[in-house]
Order: sequence, then structure tokens, then C-alpha cells
Amino acid sequence: MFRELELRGRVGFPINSLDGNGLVAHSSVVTSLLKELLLVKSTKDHGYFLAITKLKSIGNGEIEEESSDIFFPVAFFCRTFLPVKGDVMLGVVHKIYKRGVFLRCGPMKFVYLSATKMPNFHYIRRKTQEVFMNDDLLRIENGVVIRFVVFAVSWRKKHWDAEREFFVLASLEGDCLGPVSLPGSDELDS
Amino acid sequence: MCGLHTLCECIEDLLELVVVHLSFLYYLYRLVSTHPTRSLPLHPPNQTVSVLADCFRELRMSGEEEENAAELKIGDEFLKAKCLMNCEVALILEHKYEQLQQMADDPMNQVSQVFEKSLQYVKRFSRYKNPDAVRQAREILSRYQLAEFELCVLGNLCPDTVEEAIAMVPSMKSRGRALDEEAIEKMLNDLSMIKKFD
Repeated sequence: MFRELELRGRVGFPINSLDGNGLVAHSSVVTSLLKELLLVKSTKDHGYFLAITKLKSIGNGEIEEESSDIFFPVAFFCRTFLPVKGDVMLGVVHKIYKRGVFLRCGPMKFVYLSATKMPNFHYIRRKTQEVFMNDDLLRIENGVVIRFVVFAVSWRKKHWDAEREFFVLASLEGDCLGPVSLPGSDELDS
Repeated sequence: MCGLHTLCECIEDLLELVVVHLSFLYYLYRLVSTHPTRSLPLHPPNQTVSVLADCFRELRMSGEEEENAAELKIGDEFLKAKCLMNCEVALILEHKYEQLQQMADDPMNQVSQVFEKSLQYVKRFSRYKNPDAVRQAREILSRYQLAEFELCVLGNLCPDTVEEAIAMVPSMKSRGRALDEEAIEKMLNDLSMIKKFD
């Protein structure tokens, strides 16, 4: 789910970067904040940070004695994407295994739909093609759009080469879940 | 040639079986070290196996206060935040991307992968493209005493029937809400009218 929320943070500058009046340009604070959010990428409570929509306020600077940097408290509005259990979302299949498939959904790369959570779908392998198919001949294969419900969510600061990512378990148990066909282009960059 | 291909397939299946078996044993080990053993689903041979196992463990550990958007049991932070439909996010992110296009030759170099993937996702899965249509969709949904989360799920998925709407947002029919099937049907009809003229 995409959200807009108000956040508070601190932006730091070296003391020698201040101008003659001991001030920092507004644009420098914004730039620094944007860079900070880019580095942070996501948090467990807020989700993935997409964009800052509005800078609400910049407080008075406070000097930190240890580093001799000056920090400004900042309040801003931000758009985020946070997966939550029970949310019904759309994802695109990008990897198929015998026991499940991986989906891409928004900024998330690790959405796993286990075969045990695909009621009535069976794994079929024909030469090089792998597909899950049910009795109604609905297919789950690479590139197919799936409507799924979020079954479980876990956020990891670091796991192997994935940093600050959400790992989601998907399920098709429920009404109106499964492969869907939508109008428009099916192309999606890999 | 066919024989070689079949042999390669067999070796691949065997390797996958070995890796899955080892992954399953590792998952069992992690689970036994903190919880009693239970029967578990197998996972594909992938680095994310242990994290996916953690998802299951966290699910079992959480209990009655478990978050579940289907029942509108979402944290206070979520209730305070304004939820956005994909089409609304698409307008904002596209506008931002256009600003970057004016500032730089290659705007893709200026954006993070999170921004890029999100923009692709919302552009592809927006049900309404026109800004007026987006505004009308929110206005219509706002008339029906829905929670922000429910409003956005309906706006994103645009169910065709009342049954589909209730399946996607089960919380609409809970807690003694005043939202009856007639009201839901009217809401869906109004939304479909916007789509026709979008």
C-alpha cells in the first residue's frame, strides 16, 4: 500500500560548510535529506521511501560535540510503500520453481508464492517451459499478472546481498485471487 | 542430442532436489532451535529460504494482536497515515520524473531503483490515467464511510461485482458497518462510469 506520512529526522552538516552568517541554504538541507532517504531506502515501520512531497519545517541547528557537525531537525511529508498482511495486491511472475514462484510487486523484489498457497494449481514442465496450471487451464507463468493477498511480511536490514528489503509471502487462498488479465502493455523492465 | 538434453534435465532436477533438501533441513534446524517441530512447506533453492522461514516463524509467534489488513487490524501509524491509490501515486511520481527530465539528460541516472520500480508498477497498474478521473474516484469512494486503507484497495483493484469487492475487502462487512450490498453496488457502478470516460 502506498502512503503519505509525516516524518521527522535530522540532517547534519560540517561546521565549516556554514556561510558567513552561520546559516545553511534551504536547498542544501533538502538535498541532504533526499540523499539520506536514498541511502536509507526503507525501514521496517515506514516501508520503502519514494519521494518527499513537502518540507514542513526546519528547526534550529544543534552542534554535536563529538563530531563538531551541526544538525538540523527536519519535519517533512513523504510517500512510502509498505506491504502489510491482508493487503490484496498485483504482482508479476518473474521466476518459477517446482515448489513456488517469485513475483515482483512495486519496489519489492522478494515476493514468494508457494505452491502450497496456490490451491488447485499444479506444476507442469514441458521441455524448457515451466508453468503452474489449474483445472480451468488458467496459467501461472513468467510475465503473468497475479492478484494475491499478503500472507506474511518480514523486513531485513541485511540478508546475503539484499540490504534493507522486505520479504513477502503471498497466497492465492481466497476468492478472486489468481492470474488476472489487465488492459494495456504487459511489458515490465526486468 | 535429445539424450544429452534429457540427461541435463535429470542432473538439474537432482541438484535442485539436493539443494531443496538441504534448505529444508536448515529450515527445520532453525525452527527446532526456537520452536517445536511442525510440518513445513518446502522452499525453492534460493538465498531467501531462511528469511522466508522467518516469515513463518514470526507469523506463529505473533498471536492475537497480529496485524491483518483484511480485518483492518493495522498499526496506529498506518491509521494515521493517508493511504494513496496507485493512480494517485502515478501522477506524483510521473510529475517528479518529468522534473528530473528537464534537469538532466538521463533522468534514470538520478532516481533510485525503488523510485524506478515503483513508477513502472503504478503506471502499469493504475486504473485511472486522467487526473480528473483520479480525483472523481477518490471523491466517490470517500462518500461511503470507508477506512483509508479500504478506499485505496478498492480504487486499486476496481472489483466488478459486490462479491468480488467483499472478497478483497472483507472488513467492509464486519463491525456492524452501515455498508450494505446495495450501497456497495452503487459505489462500484459509479466507479465503472469513471472508467468508461477516462
